[in-house]
Amino acid sequence: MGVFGEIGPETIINAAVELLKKEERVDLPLSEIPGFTRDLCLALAADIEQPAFTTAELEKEITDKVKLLFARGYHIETLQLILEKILDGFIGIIQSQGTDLQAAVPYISTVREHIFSGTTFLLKTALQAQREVIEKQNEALMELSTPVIPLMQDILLLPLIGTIDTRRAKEIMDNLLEGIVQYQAEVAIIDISGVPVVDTQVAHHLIKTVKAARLLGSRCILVGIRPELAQTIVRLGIDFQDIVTKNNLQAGLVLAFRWLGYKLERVERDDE
Amino acid sequence: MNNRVPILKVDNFWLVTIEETLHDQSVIEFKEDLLHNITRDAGAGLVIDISALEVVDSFVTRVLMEISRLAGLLGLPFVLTGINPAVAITLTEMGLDLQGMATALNLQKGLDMLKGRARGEPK
Repeated sequence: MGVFGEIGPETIINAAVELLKKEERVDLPLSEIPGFTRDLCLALAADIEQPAFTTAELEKEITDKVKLLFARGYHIETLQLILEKILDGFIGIIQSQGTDLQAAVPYISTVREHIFSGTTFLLKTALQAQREVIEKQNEALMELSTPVIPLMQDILLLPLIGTIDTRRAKEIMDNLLEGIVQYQAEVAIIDISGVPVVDTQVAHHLIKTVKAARLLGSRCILVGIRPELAQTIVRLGIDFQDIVTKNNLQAGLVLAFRWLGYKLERVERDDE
Repeated sequence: MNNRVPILKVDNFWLVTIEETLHDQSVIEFKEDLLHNITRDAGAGLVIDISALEVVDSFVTRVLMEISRLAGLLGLPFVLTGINPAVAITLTEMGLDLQGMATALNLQKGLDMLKGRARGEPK
């Protein structure tokens, strides 16, 4: 005896699928509906003696399925709808069989309870899946957000774009120092023209990064301080005394060239 | 245990490479050794390379700063080379940014810097 009493799960699945086919809100392809409904339905049926929603294997299977569906862009509403229809199908069958409705009430409420816990479970899975996606994106963003570009022999460029928080500031410092050692670069140009806000914290981290780079034997040039930024820095009373700053990347490059003894020259082309 | 730090002289430059993390006692011995050498025969400059060190404690840092000041007193240009990124981060976190000490990425660049200074070029 399962949750559904005398009625076999297959009957309910069929009823639910029939109901779902009439629904317009379902954005699941029709071919997928029976399979998924069966899974959910069996999960419910398997569960009568257990406090948890499903047995472990089924739970895992459903979790995987749900994640897959989310990855393909389906919504939690659809899945919830399937559960709802299972309930509706169940009630419909009981009605059509003409069983004494009064006697069926305890059954129906048990099934309803299971459907509810099923919905909760789905919601939890959905949130979990979403959280995982966000975490992955965060990582990707982190990797993309602090590139260290070897511009030419002895010169590194570190273009910073976007808000800098403590975690990113640490990442920036690590990446820059690793880059300096890897490329044995004597000058690092840090471009902060893409950083919208510089507060005391960010400034502090920048100063620390520059000092650490100096310890390695590399000099930093901070370029791209926008007027608003300059005002904030002055207003906050942050001391940028020891840090070489230039207004834009070109000026920074020119200074780096001077330090390294490079000279940029336009040469007459021979092939013309 | 004999882990004296070799102090070499090449082309009139003093070269020291610290290969392993030193005990406090050997750090002091090393400092005495070095001072003895550079006061006897100043040379054109001193390079200490610590690229092999994964960890630099505050005591070693203090001794290095002392050496830097002493070299300054003797008029001996001094460059510290090959600080590890991790070490650099730790030092800045501790607030020891070795102000006034010349640093270079590697031994070659350190030597180039000293040679440039010996020729009278500004840093």
